[in-house]
Amino acid sequence: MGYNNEGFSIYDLQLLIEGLGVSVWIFLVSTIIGLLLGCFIGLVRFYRIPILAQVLMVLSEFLKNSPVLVQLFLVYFGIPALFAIDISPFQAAVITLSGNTASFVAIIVISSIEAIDKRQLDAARSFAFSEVQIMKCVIFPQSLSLAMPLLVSLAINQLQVTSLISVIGVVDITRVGDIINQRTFEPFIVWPIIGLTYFILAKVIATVGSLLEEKYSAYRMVNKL
Amino acid sequence: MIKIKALHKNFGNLEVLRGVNISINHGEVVSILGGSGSGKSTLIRCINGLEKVTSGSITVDEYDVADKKQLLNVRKKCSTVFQQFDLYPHLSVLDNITLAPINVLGEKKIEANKVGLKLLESVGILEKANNYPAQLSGGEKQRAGICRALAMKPDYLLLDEVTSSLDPEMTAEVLGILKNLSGKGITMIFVTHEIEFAREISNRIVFLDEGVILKDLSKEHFFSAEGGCLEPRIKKFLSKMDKNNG
Ligand SMILES: Nc1ncnc2c1ncn2[C@@H]1O[C@H](COP(=O)(O)OP(=O)(O)OP(=O)(O)O)[C@@H](O)[C@H]1O
Ligand SMILES: [Mg+2]
Repeated sequence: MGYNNEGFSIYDLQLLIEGLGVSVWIFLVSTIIGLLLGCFIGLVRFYRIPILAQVLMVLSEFLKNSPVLVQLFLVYFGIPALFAIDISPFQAAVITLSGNTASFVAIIVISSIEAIDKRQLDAARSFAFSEVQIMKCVIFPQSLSLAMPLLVSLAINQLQVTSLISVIGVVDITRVGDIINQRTFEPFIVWPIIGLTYFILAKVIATVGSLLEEKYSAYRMVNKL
Repeated sequence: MIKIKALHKNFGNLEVLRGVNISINHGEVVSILGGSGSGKSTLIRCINGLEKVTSGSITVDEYDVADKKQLLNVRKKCSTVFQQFDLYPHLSVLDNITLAPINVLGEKKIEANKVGLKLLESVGILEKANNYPAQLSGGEKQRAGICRALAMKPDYLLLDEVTSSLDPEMTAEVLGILKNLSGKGITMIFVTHEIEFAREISNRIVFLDEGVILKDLSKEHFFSAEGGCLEPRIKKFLSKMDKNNG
């Protein structure tokens, strides 16, 4: 990094690494919560559990079809006003991103369950499997294989979306870039580095994702041998 | 014994089964014949509870199909072989066969595998045990489907046009296997368009027409001049089938 430029210092690197840590942490936490919540919403909607399914559908449609930045402001400024509680930028970021991720995960869960051939489910029923066993032994492994590529591209997209949280003051990589840029006025050095950092993270997710995909899709690969 | 009494099944306004009565005893091999849309598949699907009956009753031994808890017992006694095989594509052939014995009957994996391999050997596809269904030919898939059904050690075997998706050569393979089974005391109920085969292995023929049983006769009687052929519809059906097969 440009040590010949007086504007940069070794502390910028430290700042960058801290920002990276914040971004990755928020990404991981909100992705895990989003996955769990999304599976729950997806199952509730798939089994058409009365009332809950409708409520969750309206909620997830809203989350899916409105800008994340608007949701972020709603959580960060709305929740304290509504419930008279304090909420940190970090908490607001996690709540918003988890909810947003969950709404997309729910769609993936529903569509990948519905993609399973109904005749197979009848076959399993005819062998006296319970509905829970059918979900576990027949539907889930196949749905997972269908869902995996979609989940991976969702994760990469949600990683990029984490950069929005810098506007409410979370010091993530983007915010770090902003801080360094304001001091050094070197946008053509700072922002490519920040961009590259996201790129590398995205590549890491893609690599992990394709390993998982391979693991769960072995049976679908046989046709292509 | 399977007892079906006054069975009615409607899909919306469509009356598919209109008062079916049959009793099937242990060890019988019953062929269900009838034109397309006469309700044969629906009847089979009612027996293992895949379709809910509109009225009437079905019992398999002491168990009532309409009772949710007893239905599981019915399904443990009756195994089904499907026209489209309907194997689980994400599992190897062997795992397809052992999935229900392990999870439903609680068999140990080692035991279940042993039984599964023996069954695969008996139908001549032992070497396919670790392949996925997508790697098998249609005939091999159906042989695996038969093994999956037999692995549950069923008292009753329900077979719905199990050779209709196969070419003649594969059909012959599968029918050969079923013929071997028919001598072994397992009760078989199969829907088929293979008249010759029905004539060869079954001891009883049930002819379904527009949701009612037109004839229910021993095989000898059904195919004799004063049996099924007296009924014009059956005569027409048989001659049409002969033309198709010839
Ligand atoms: N799930 C369903 N919903 C509505 N109608 C159905 C359903 N299943 C079957 N039917 C109708 O019920 C009638 C009987 O169907 P079924 O499949 O039992 O006939 P089949 O005798 O097996 O005919 P095939 O020889 O063509 O297989 C048909 O008219 C069919 O369209
Ligand atoms: Mg049919």
